[in-house]
Amino acid sequence: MDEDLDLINRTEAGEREAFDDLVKKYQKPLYAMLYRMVGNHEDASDLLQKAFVKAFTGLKSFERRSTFKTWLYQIAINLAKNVYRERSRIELVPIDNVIIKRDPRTLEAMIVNENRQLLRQALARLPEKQRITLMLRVQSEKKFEEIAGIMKCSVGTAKANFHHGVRKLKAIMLEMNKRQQSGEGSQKQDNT
Amino acid sequence: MCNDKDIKELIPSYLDQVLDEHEHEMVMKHLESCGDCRADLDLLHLMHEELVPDPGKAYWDEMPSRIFRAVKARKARKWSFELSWLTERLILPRWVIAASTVGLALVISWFAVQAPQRGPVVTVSQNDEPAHEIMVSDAVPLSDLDHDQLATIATWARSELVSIAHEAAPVMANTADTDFYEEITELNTNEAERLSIMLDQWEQEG
Repeated sequence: MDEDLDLINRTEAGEREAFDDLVKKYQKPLYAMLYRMVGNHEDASDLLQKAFVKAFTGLKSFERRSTFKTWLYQIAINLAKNVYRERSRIELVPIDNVIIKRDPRTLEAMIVNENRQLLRQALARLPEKQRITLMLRVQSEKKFEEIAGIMKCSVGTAKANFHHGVRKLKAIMLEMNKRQQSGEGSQKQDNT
Repeated sequence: MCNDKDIKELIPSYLDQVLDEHEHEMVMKHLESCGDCRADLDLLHLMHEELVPDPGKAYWDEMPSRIFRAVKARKARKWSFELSWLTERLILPRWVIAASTVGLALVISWFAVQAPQRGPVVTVSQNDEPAHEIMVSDAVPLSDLDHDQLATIATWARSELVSIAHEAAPVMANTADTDFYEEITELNTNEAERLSIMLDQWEQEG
């Protein structure tokens, strides 16, 4: 029998150990996905707890047509979408506030950090389905079949969302880079 | 722009280093000559390396207990919500119950007041007059009745008493016989013999 199904059956029978095992199995990867979606620990932690509570209180409605993992991720993503839509996720950390350590890799770290900021901003501008598909594929390392189950779409649609998402993300980042460079260029002109 | 969807689909797996040898070789060879796919790889690598801060061991150790308590609390709230939902749906609001009770009381009292006011319809015949029906209706003081009305009521009352007496007579007789019979059967042998001697003496004396 599937390990998760066995844990679910034992949880439903009231076995506390099975309940704890299920939580421990999925808490870290689920937290990581949620953190990437909402951008801060408080929201991610809150969503993690809500997702588990919703899953365990609704265990009787789990039809077992998909895996428990897929079902849990569906719940978590739906909860995260609501938060994402309501609040502004982008935590813009001005580059000046970055603590500069006396390290030969400082400049490289700054560039990487700046690129990561741009990436977060670019991801925020993607359509929801493309953004979630990209995150599940690249950051949560899910296969397209799993993504299709979570997103309730076909494998072909999941792949198409991924392709379009990557293409659009590149275009957005290129545009943002150009703006940044033209902004820096005009600043240099002002200084001189 | 590269339109090789097969390669593009494999890039995330290439990044995860989970491709088999043949696929790995294929992607690596393609990347050598395709700038577009190399850009994709860099971008996805940046995404992949996005750091998620670790809240710490204590956080993870405590999480199952925290969730367990939250699940218990949620189930308890759900039960009380369902109960209140049920009572609200099946048990009528108080004002409805109050209104229904008052309405029912009014209906019952109306019937209770009305019923005695309807009296029996009786057929009476007086002297040579043809029989006609009268109804004993609302209570009326006898002083308000004229002579003919009083006579009609008296005739009706008499006929009612007669019918009651006729119905009661067999019952009274039977009751008397039944009582006497029961008393005789309760006598023992000596008493029964003594009663018989007494009856013979009364007969001889006349």
